Amino acid sequence: MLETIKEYALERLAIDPQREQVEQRYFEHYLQLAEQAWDLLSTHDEHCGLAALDLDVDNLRAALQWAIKRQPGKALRLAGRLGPYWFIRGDPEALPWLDAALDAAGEQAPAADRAQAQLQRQGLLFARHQEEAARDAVEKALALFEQAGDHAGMAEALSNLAALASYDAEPDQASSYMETACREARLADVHGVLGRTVAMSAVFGPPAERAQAQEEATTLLAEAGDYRNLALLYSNSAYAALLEDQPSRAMHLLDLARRAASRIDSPFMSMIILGNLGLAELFTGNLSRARQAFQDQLRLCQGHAFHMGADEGLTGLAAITARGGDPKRAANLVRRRTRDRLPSRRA
Amino acid sequence: MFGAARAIGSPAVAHESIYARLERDYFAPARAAFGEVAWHRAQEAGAMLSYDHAIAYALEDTAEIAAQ
Repeated sequence: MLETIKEYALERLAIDPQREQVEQRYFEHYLQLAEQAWDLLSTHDEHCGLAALDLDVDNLRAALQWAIKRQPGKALRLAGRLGPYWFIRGDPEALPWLDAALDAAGEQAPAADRAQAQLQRQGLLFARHQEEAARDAVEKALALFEQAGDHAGMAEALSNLAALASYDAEPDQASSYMETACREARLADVHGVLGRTVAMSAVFGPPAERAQAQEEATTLLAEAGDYRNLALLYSNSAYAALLEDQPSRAMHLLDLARRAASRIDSPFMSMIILGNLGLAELFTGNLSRARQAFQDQLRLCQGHAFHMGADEGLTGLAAITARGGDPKRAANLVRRRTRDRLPSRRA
Repeated sequence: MFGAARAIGSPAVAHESIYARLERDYFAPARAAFGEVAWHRAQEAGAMLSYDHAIAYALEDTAEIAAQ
């Protein structure tokens, strides 16, 4: 809409006796749009959901701003539904919006909506290296999903706790979370949840059950058209192969990951795959291809503020630089994160 | 690195053992040749850079270095 027309319309609306009803309908329309798009994400029609939200991103922001002041409970619902979109698009405003909606809605808001917002805060916080805050958010999410009796939400929260346990080098803890997550996912009758949860179990679950989980997850995700999580399954399995010193197997899995990722538009997924590809090339001794992969990864990090991926890309390039005989530059680039060990937590 | 389920609430996880391998095969030999003190001084200088500056620095002329 032309800016002058928009300004005129807003001036007229400001003095319209039906202003409140108009704004209410405006909000309800965009809440419905977000709900519909939410249903499309992680399906064959993911691109349609993203395109619909891209087209109305300014209106969605305005609707959210209005609801935070006038109907904070519904604002929280809308913010929660926009979470996946913000995450996919790498929107830096996502965390402030979620925080504002949670603050405005308070504890009287439905537990499921608060849980969803907390779950999404967790991912955004972790991507910013705020591990303690991220853990706090996902534990709040799990408690709220339990309160709401939401099995699908519990499965998602437990899966993320498993990933955090793996990050803390607590594989038994991760397996325990995943066993509980899979039980909850099978209780939930929600599209896509079981495939995503079993895919996580293929990586973080009990080692003896991972191969079977990978087979089941591949079938479930392909049937659902969830190419994002299919790509993630292959990429994660490739990373696990790297941990087991099997770079050739990792390369094969990354090829499958790239094919699945080519079906979606996800800089974040591409960034993860490129980092793993860089490591696989590095460990097979192909420094030139490793360099290309890490550079491509860093360019995506640069464009989308993916700091965690930047650590990996910088350290990968540091390794290549060290081998190339420039130790000063290598030392400048290397990122070696030191973390305080966190106390063990039980699922 | 590992990525976690779905686009929502997805942490990404980098494992210590990968860094340990890079340390053993790439950084330790370079540090030994360069000297511990000089290495740590250079690492601290690099750590002062913001992500944006570190990435720009890394992309500057890595191709030339790799070619060498």
